[in-house]
Amino acid sequence: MIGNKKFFNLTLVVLIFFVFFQEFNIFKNVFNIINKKSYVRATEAYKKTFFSGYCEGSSHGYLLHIKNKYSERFIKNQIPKIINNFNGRKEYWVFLNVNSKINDNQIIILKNVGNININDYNIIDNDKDGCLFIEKKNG
Amino acid sequence: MVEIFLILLQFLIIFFFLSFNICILNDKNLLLRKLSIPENIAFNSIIFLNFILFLSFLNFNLNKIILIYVLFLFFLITIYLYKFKNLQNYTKDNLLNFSLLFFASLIIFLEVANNLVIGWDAQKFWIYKTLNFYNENTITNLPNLPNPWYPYLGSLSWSFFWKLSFIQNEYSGRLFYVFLYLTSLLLIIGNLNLSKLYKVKFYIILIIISYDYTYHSHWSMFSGYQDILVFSLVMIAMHFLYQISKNTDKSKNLDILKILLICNLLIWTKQEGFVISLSLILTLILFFKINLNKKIYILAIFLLIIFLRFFIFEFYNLNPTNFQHTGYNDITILSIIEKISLERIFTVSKYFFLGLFSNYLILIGLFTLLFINIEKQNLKRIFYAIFFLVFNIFVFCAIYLITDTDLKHMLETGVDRIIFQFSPSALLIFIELYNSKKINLRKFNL
Repeated sequence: MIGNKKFFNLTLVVLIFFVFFQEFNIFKNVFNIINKKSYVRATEAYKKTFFSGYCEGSSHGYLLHIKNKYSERFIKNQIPKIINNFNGRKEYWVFLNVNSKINDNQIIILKNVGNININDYNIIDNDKDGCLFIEKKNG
Repeated sequence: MVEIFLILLQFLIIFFFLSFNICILNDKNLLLRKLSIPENIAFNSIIFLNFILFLSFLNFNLNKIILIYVLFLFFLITIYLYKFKNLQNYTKDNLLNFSLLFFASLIIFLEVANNLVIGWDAQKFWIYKTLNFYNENTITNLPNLPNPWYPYLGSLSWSFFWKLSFIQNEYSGRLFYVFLYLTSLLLIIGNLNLSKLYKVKFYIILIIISYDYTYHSHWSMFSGYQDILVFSLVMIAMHFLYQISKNTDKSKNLDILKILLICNLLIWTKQEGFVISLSLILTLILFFKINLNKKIYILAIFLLIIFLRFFIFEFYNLNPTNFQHTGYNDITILSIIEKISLERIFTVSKYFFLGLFSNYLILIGLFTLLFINIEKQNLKRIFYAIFFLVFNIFVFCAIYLITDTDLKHMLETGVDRIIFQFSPSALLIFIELYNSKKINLRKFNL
């Protein structure tokens, strides 16, 4: 037979573990890791920050989308130029290669305010005219 | 599902890489057999971090660093097999420690894997250094990247475990930070004279209360910030200080050496490391019974560590602008005097006061001090921990006072993280009181 004191102690341990699970969102984390790719999880996580989102602030979501969808289009050892009209931050690290050179012929525009003549470029990707991935014609 | 399996595997990789103790080379009494898992991993982590740091000084790229460390591991494994005939020692305590570490690591690893934000400062200062090593560059390429004047040890370890991982994502490297953090907590809890069940409870509670330490950030403390590394290293240093305060035998020398090695790591992790390591050394010199010659040696080695830091920075031109920290452009005596005013002192005090009272570990320390005061206990035993805490508070207050940038913004975005880094000392006050023979807590059946 388990004594009252032992039962109380064990219950307390179980409760502490539940709080621990709750604090670290264990079930939600497992669900997301199984069902969502890492760049989707990253995009969702950046939406919760004050400095970024999908196509706002530093726009990590859009940068990850471009990297994930169009990386085969990038010239070897080159990454697209970033023009960020939201907050000016250019998060080139998203492409995970500090040895890459910046390719001026491929541009990711974050918040399109018309400071680039888009007619000279082919639009590769367009997110509601807010964020664009463009490539210079005959570039 | 595969990713979860790889996360589990990453735990085993980190655990394996930090399981073999260099002391095996000089272990005549088989003392290693008596080491607990957290003690062993904490010491091996100190050696590991110093090891890869010194290899980076030699201008080796990450592949070479990994290769040399793996060879070193093979060498140690051979000695282990020769001496012990097996690789691990499965005592009941070690199985409990391993289970706790595994369980807690897994939970937080999953949190890191799902919440993939790299924090604001981490994007600005640390991720580029990590990528530098991950992309096979050496220390010589750091001046070509943003903010080269910042130390890079945390980024180096991040890239090390990222490279080793089967997970093709940078977060795999950051899992090492989680592992070290959990090990350091397990290590400090080992000092409490508690039953196993209470240690488990206390461990989980300590993780919960020390995890969410910022009141302005919307991302976790494993988002690439180096504060967690400093926190873990200080926690480990507190354990060794506690051991020195208890011991009078030969292991004292080894514990002093470990603290010196931690000072080196702190200096190479963050700028704040200078202050924290200085406070560690001063605590060691001023509050422990160590003979004068030894004290001189400790001070000399510490100065050598500082010299080496500046020498390497000069040698590889890591600080071309002579910047030491953002927000500190003019640090002449005249400008420092001009910056000090009653209003600024009040502002700094206010933010530090609020910061201290919003850190749970500090609160535990303060309540302990209050309890000691009520019970009229002798404070002498914990003077060293109080000194460490107060020294850091005053020096960081002074550093904030002389900033050139917006003081309020600096305090709002940084003071909680600064306090977090030296907060393990408050926990030490609690441990010292709890274990004090004068207080008999057996009446509470703990």
